[in-house]
Amino acid sequence: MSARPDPSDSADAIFSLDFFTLIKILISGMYWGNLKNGFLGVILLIVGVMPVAYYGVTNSPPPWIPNEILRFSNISRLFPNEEQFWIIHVGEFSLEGEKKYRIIDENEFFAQQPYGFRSRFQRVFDLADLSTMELLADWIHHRISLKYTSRRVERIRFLRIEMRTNLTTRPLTQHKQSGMLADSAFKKETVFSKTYLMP
Amino acid sequence: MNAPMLLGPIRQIWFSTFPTSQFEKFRTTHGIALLSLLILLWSHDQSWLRPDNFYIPGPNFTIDSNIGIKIFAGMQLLAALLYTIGVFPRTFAAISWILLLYVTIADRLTAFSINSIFLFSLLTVSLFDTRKKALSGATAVPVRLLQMFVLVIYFTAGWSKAVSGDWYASPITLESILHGHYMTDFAAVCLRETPPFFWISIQHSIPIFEMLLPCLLLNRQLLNIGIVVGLIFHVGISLFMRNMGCFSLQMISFYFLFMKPAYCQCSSANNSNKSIEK
Repeated sequence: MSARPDPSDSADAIFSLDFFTLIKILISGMYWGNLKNGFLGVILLIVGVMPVAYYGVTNSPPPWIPNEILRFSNISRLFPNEEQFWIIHVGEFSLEGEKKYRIIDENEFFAQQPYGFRSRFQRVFDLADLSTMELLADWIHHRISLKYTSRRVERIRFLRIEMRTNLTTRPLTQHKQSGMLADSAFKKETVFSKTYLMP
Repeated sequence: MNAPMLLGPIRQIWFSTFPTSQFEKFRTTHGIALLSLLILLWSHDQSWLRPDNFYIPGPNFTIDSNIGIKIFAGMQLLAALLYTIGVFPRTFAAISWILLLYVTIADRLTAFSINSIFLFSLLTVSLFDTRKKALSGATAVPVRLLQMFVLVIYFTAGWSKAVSGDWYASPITLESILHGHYMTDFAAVCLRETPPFFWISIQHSIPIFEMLLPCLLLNRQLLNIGIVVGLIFHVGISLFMRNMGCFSLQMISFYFLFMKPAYCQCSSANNSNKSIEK
């Protein structure tokens, strides 16, 4: 059987010591395994558990967590709000000399995600700011230009369409069958637009 | 209250031992949940990590070739499988953690909150020695951390609904969410056939349940009730919300860490390694 001390006994011993004896023992490494576990546990508590608690209770990011790992802490605030609108985003483009916009078929460029019915295109708008939308527009512009080689793609814009929830009159599976694009579009606005000049 | 009196309970919780059978049941169920998630994600492999996709600006770690993607998928699935069946569980928990972290950093559009729960639990499993042969010297630190983690998730999920959000502002909050992107066919039928009162009562009970669950799981007398209600809650989530089964399984796996040892006894292997929770 291992000669390692029982952890609770070693903890008893550690807590009953005076400060200088404790330092000596720490240096000697006598209870190193137990202390290492305790130390790692406290680190994980500060970095993993407390930020989740802070974020969930205060609804604001914990100040001691760097931005790079902040999103790992926001895990308990799921579905706190009513979905008052079903929101989808639509991309449109126009070719040189055309006033009319054509809808970008997002399935042509973005694969479906495993969760829900939304493609990567829709998820970009959950996270993106204007600069990211511009990158997205450039990315789409490049790909559409490869398709329309004879005419220049002049403009790209992204629309946001909100459909108000009306659970009392709306057929319950309607939006699912029609891929979220129902005939009762309620509000439509342009969230981003970019014109591509001649190179 | 002086310092030793305060330190006493902390010491008792932090440095006590725990039955490995509980931890093994947790690890197996948790591994199955991880494996399910990876199978689900890889069944849509064209939507992530491919260099021809659009990515939110950040570190560009996408995988260039089809063979590279297949190798990465194979590594992830193999590591999760070996972790699940208990072959070098710490090592393969660490490997699974690194691969999940890679996905989370490389592709924000694929990184869901479910990944964050796995990231924490796999890191905890990989950092602490919980093998049976080390039982006499093992502390309960990883178990306590995982218990605290899941209790915090439950409580803050309920709190954010009840206090920070507008969960109670409308009687159709739950219905509107269930009509959203996650709606299953079963949910569609139930939403049509059941009266609004049913959904309103469930809506009002969810935050209460989430905030009360820590009390139920920590109290020996109420533990069984907590587990049964929790199981119903998570089975409901997986029935009404599309592809959320692995999330439910993941959360259910944590329940093994709260169960009494009698429920989790592993037959012969455990008899020689009994440890009494202090």
